[in-house]
Amino acid sequence: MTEPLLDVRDLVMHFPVKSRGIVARTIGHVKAVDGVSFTLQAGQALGLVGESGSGKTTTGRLVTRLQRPTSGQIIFEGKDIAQSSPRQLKPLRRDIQMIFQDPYTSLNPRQTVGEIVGAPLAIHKLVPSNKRLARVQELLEIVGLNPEHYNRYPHEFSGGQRQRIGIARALTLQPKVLVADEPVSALDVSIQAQVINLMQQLQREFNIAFLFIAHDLAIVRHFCPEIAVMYLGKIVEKAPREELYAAPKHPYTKALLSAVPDVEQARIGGRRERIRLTGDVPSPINPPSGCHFRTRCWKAQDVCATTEPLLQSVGAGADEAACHFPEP
Amino acid sequence: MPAKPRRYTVRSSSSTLGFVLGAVVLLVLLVVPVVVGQWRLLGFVLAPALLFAWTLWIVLYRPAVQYDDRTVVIVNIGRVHVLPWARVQRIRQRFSLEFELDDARKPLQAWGVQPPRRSGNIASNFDRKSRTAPDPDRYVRVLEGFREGAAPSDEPVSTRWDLVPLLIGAVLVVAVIVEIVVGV
Repeated sequence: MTEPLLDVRDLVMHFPVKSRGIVARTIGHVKAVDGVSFTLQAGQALGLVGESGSGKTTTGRLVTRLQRPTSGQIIFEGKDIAQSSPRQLKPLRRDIQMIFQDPYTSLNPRQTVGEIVGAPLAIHKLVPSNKRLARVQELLEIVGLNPEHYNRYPHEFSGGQRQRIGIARALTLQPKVLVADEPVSALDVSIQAQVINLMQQLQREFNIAFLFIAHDLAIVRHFCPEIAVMYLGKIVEKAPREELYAAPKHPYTKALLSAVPDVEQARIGGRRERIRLTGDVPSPINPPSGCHFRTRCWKAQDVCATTEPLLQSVGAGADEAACHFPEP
Repeated sequence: MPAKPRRYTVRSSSSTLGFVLGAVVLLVLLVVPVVVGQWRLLGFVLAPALLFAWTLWIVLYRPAVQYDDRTVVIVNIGRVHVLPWARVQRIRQRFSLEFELDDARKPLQAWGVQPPRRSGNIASNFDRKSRTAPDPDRYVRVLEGFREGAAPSDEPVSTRWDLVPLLIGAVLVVAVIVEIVVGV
């Protein structure tokens, strides 16, 4: 088996909670990411799903090293970049890029599209300044925008077009890994399809590995052959999409999938069992002992409170789940 | 081997500041006889000064709430209560933090933790937008997070005297009494 392009091992990000007052002290830590591990091959797409606050975006920001992890390893092309300094990271910035969630706030309103998309080229001095415009126009064309619009400002574009500008910016340096943080959640459904298709086309064309973060399970299913489900900072299930959608092993995944309307089932008159999770998501300051999901799980037993289940193979397929009592 | 659980401490920051200021003033007052070489004077004021420092420490600095993912320890003046999280029913912020237990006894007060300061009042005089929303329940939210996440446990609540600090205080009191008697 080939060495993975990106190998994330036991990634941890704990944000300190400070008290207010004259003497501020740390009174707790929000465990946003708590021991996440996965690998990503070149040209592969891994979907990261989970409800709000599960640590998806933080994981993405750690992988791109927009934040320094508390501990763990991020091995990119055989080199651990988890604790690298900004200077050491500069050449790596070319290889790992990010597409942000909100196309309305992730573009500088004072810069033209040409300046936004051309900025990485200027920073990394990849293209001489006299050829920069041609490269920017080429990128705009790749993402389906009119190359003549390079001197327009972001507010002159629609949401979908803005997201395309964000994609063009991420592609400028020809990255090997793209972290797409809910890239279509702020867009209309019709525009979502266009942007997803564009990303798929680019993935094939440039062999880019995608870490695709989303909470829309249908989009992840369409885009990613492998999916990891996160809950309270941990991956609770990781599986090929066919296995995950057909027979989820972790109760949380099962509950998550039961919330997705099934058009096919409705067409034939059937109705899928809807699992309603009780209670709120526990505080990430001190997630429940043992299995983090135990406080909302209908299968929880004593062992779930005392022993943390490890992510391990379940059943005959490639499905991995962190559960003491996985679904059959 | 499982990682050692992280332990946190909460105590009133204004009391902490009061203790530090008091200790600094006391230190300066003790340094003066040393600098001028008045060793007799130093010998005379040392025990009362240490007793005063101890009083500041046990009243202003020692009371605190210490907690990890298993237990919460309430340190009050002279008494220490060790509560497994599983025994705590509810936490409330009144003038001090209040821990309701599952055995219907009177709630335990943590004297060392007063409500967090309502910050941003000075800034609000200049710019209303910069005012930070008051968050008097900040400690409660953090501690409730620990309480909810704790593993079930049968461990009982235990209460003991804060022995070592009290013994030190007793020794200092005796020293001052002896000094007064001998001095007289």
